[in-house]
Amino acid sequence: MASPKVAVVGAGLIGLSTALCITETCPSCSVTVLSDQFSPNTTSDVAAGMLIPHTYPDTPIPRQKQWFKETFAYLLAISNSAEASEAGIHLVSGWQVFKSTPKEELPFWSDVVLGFRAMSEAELLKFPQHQFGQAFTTLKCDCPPYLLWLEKRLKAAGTQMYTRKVADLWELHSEYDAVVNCTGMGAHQLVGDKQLFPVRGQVLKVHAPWVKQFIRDGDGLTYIYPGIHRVTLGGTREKGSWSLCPDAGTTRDIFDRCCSLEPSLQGAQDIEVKVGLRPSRQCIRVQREVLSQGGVKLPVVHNYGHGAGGFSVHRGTASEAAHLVGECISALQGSSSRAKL
Amino acid sequence: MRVAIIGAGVIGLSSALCIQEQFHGLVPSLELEVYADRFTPHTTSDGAAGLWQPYLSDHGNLQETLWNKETFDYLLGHMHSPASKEMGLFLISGYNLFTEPVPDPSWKNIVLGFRNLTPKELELFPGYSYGWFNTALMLEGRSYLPWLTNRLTQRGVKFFHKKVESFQELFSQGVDVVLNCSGMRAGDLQPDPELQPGRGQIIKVLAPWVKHFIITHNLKSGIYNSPYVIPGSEFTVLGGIYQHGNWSEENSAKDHKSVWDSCCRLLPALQEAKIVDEWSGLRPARPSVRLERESIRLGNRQAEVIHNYGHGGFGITIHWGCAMAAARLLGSILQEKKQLATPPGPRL
Repeated sequence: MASPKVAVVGAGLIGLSTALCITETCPSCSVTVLSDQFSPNTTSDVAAGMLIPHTYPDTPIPRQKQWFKETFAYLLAISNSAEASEAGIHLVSGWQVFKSTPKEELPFWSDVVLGFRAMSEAELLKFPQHQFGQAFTTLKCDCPPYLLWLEKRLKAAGTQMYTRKVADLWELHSEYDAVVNCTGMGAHQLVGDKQLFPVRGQVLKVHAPWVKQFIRDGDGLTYIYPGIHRVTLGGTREKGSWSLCPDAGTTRDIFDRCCSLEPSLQGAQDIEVKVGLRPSRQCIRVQREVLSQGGVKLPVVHNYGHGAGGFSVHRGTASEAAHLVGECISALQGSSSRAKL
Repeated sequence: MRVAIIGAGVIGLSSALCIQEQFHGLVPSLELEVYADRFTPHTTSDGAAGLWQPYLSDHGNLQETLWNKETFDYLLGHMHSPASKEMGLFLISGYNLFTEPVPDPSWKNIVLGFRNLTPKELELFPGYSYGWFNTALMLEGRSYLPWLTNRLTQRGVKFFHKKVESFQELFSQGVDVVLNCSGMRAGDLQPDPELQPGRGQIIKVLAPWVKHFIITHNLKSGIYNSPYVIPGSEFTVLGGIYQHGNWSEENSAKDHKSVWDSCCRLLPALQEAKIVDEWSGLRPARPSVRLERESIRLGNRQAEVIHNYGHGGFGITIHWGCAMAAARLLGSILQEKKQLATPPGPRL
């Protein structure tokens, strides 16, 4: 097999980063990205892109930590290079505050982010409703810039990208040797994964350029994340809601909650409301599978179900998925050479 | 009782406001007047990035450390007020970088969350082996000065656009007390060989992805002669020039190159930043701030001058502490002139 043809379905953060990893680990592969949506219309474009991990209940912590470490190191290098502004990657410091001291004062990722420590008494004075806090420096991936940067890198590597709604993975079997399923919430229908469920998030993106620090309530519901041009204010976690329509009452509520953490936000301008459905799962599905119909086989690698934690682990899961694609290709090459005998 | 303030930079305007707040109820006849030949956005304070940070060492000048602390606490107290955005006031964290270990600064307990940098953080800054991280405040002159001006105008303070040539000029017009907040040009009013320009040159760029201040230090070349990057609400300031004794307010191509090259080496991402402006200014440097009374004999009168100048590169950092000290000095003068029955209010 001279040039194995790999299709990556999905052009959000996971699809693009997985495609890029495949071009890096399998230079002989011809990679094509197929998606019904591209930036700025993916779920990833709604997210703030903060590297603060979500904990997946059914994935061993060491594996989650490895994914996060790999992602953090990858992005840190970009943030420290001349490409940082184009890629939309930048360092940001701030606080995670808790109304009551959490059971786990040291999260598993505390030694991966920079300068992690408990907040001082003086710092906590700024948050009269909160008893405990953590201060640290982490990274933020602004979208669309990061997705557009990934697309640019892919094009430079010879990757083709097409707008196409794939209704069934099997429809790709005649054109491609392997398929990578990075369809996020779309996997619910595409592969019938009933373990995948939406967690609706509404956010506001506002103009408040004097906000340089992030503030996050440890409950994960209220957060202020300063990006390059806009500050993301959040949010909601509505499990099971499929609605992509912004809700006015929710907008008011998010704004009020954020203003109580950072009163200067009262002066924020140009409020844009966005909604995304976090493709949530008890564990991220990074897995190989072989579909077969009538003696014909189609290797598939799944990489979806990142829920609230996609940005934090994307590079780690992308490289794991790319590795699985490598295994699929080797298996195909093995069987094709057997066929020659 | 006419009090004239010379100078409309951060020192002049904040002194005026502090005095107005302290005395307006106590001295009904109080008239405040501000005289300056330059107003915002053309003052030295407008060119400053606006970061609250004193020099590395206070050289045992505890008075100045106290004034710095009073300023920080005063500003922090305004952080939750709706005025903070209008004042140009916001929190910001960042890095101070060194090539060798240094003692902790006098202000380590004034700022928030002061700590040493971890090895991983230092890896971000090749060439630097030691440093600090802390959260401080930004107070942008181009917002703060108009905010002060508006407050003063609302309270009936009068502004006069003119260059005052001498203290006598004002006293002969019937002014009772002069507050000398003339910064770099105090020497024109009264020779002061200790006051020297600390020339700085900065480049203003668009780099909204920069969320931290980064100040490098070269202990041999001295303060601010090493690259620094300070992100404001709209522009990011790149600097690293301190030329003692240089009076030129013209931008120098050599200094531009030095600032640009050294800042881009520090933060490679800056190579993509768009340059929008360049500015040179003179820090009114002095071994210590001159904050004291002086009685001047004018014929059969005793005229009072309160000097408040020589704040070098830390004017914004120290301004409110000095304003309050100047107000206390005015209080003593008013008491002596029997304008005040007792010193005003609780201990300032």
